[in-house]
Amino acid sequence: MSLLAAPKPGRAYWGTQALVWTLYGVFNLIIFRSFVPKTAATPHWVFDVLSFLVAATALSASHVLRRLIWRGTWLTRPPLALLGRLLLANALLAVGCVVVIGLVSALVLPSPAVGRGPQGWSAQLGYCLNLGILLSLWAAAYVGWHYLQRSRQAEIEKWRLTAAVREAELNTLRAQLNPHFLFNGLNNIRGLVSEDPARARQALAHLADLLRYVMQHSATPLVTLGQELEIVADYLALEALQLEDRLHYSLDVDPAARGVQLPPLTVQLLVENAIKHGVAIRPAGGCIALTAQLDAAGQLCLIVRSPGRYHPVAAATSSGLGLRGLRERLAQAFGPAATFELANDPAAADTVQAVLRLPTVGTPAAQPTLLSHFVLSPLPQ
Amino acid sequence: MRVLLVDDSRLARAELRRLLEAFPDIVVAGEARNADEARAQLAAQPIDLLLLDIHMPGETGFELLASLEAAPPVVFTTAYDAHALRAFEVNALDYLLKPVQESRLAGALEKVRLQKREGAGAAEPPRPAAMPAPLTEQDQVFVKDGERCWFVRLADVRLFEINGSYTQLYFDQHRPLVPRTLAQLEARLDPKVFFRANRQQIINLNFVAGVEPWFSHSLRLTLRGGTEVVEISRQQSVRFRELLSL
Repeated sequence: MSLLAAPKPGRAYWGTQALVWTLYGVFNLIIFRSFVPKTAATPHWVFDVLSFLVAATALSASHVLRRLIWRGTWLTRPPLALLGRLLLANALLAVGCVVVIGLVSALVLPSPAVGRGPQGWSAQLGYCLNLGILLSLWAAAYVGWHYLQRSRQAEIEKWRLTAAVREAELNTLRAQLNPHFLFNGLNNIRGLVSEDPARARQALAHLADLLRYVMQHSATPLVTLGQELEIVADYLALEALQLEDRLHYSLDVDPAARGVQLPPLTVQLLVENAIKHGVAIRPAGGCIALTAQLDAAGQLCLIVRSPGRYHPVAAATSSGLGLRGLRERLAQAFGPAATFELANDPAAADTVQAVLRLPTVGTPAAQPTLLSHFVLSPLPQ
Repeated sequence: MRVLLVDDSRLARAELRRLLEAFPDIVVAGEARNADEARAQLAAQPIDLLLLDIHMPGETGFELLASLEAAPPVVFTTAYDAHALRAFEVNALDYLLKPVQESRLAGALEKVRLQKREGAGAAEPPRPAAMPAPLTEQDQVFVKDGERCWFVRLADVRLFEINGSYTQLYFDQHRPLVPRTLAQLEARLDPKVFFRANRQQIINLNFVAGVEPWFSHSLRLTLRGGTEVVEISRQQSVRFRELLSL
């Protein structure tokens, strides 16, 4: 529910209005009865009617004020602008009320009633002032109530948002740590322990490095390509335990490109996707080729090739999630300067290539990401 | 008990082998890396238990089972698919999460032994040498209908009905489809129990609750556990009467 939408006046509103203005009417009535002498020429019932006429008119004016407040979205304006509008509106409404009351009493009530009270322009001004103050009190109560509600809503929203951010952080972590990969990896290492303890020890170190990287960098905006490639190597070593001779891979990286900055787990995601869709599903396996070069303009061009055919429609439904996250992270770090494309390789049959182009010169300062403030909390080492 | 290991990871299979060494009654009859190899192994030798990975290159473990005429007892092994296995409605044996705990494996094997002992009560008919044995009541088929899966014993199926090139199985309140024609099924089902009532339907004779004569020498049957009414064609009615009078 939007905070700006005008609420339909509910039973609580009408109930409160009726109560407040009835009390006001009764209060007027008591005042009149106490202070107008019994001997006055005007019958008492005239004052009784007058009391409730004033209350009813003020009720209508307050309702008009309420509509003005919502129509003009006054509650969203700065305090002074709100105050100015309220005072002006109240002044006009007070004058309107006095005119209405004057007209109605002149038409309906016996003329001596009008004649008895204080008359003249100064008296009318007094009535206006009186009603203006009354309406201002009403406005203060009404606006104050809504401000209170609003601040409580904002508080709740704030906590909800914090919770959502924490959950999003957890989800990224979970998404980056593919559970299938993790548990198959653990199982394979267990198998290695009895078969080849030396390789098992290596594999554990690879897994540890990979887990540490994921935990440390899930909230870091940028890492260097060199750092990223180290864990890609860890990742490939672990995938090789699962896929063995079904997986072949080659990495061809220009040493000059290793300093380029990019969001963490970008290359890892491309390699993971390549293995998932190009190698793991094929009983005979396949080959992943990664190349990274700087072009003449100083742009990083990173390509991951894998077997298969790319179907944009099928991809949109299944694997789209990971790649959409990748595009979002790239856009956040580089804006339109970074591009990512997934397509069939025009030069080779049965090959999909993922092409990532990143600017290197004047890499923009890391943009604060939604999660960046969580970096402040040190991770257990 | 002869076990077939189906997993695409060699290390995972080796690890299972090592774990199974602790159970003297278990013989690892073979290994398969994917669904095709598993089917070949199943055709080549009798297998009492399948230790089956779900995620494999090519067909998944579920697809392998759905392609089998009769599914052997299965224990699934998986890294992270417990949610997929909760889809099982009936008669699923068990699943093991990798890396597998010895005690969980022992528990799963004990369940299989128990079920085998219960199933052994029904004597197996002698097999003709040349032909593959017909499917008996004790055989189970694996049925996947959207997200839901069942292992159904044929003894629990009361009716098979043509549905395009598929066959619809009626058991309990479920009626999923299997990707086989009625004629294919009829050729493999035990004719003493499963009777071709008409062009569209095969019934399980153990479910017949009532018989009444119908028009022109045909018969009308009602089946226990269902509301279906089956009409036996005139030609088949003669055979049906013969069967019952035996």
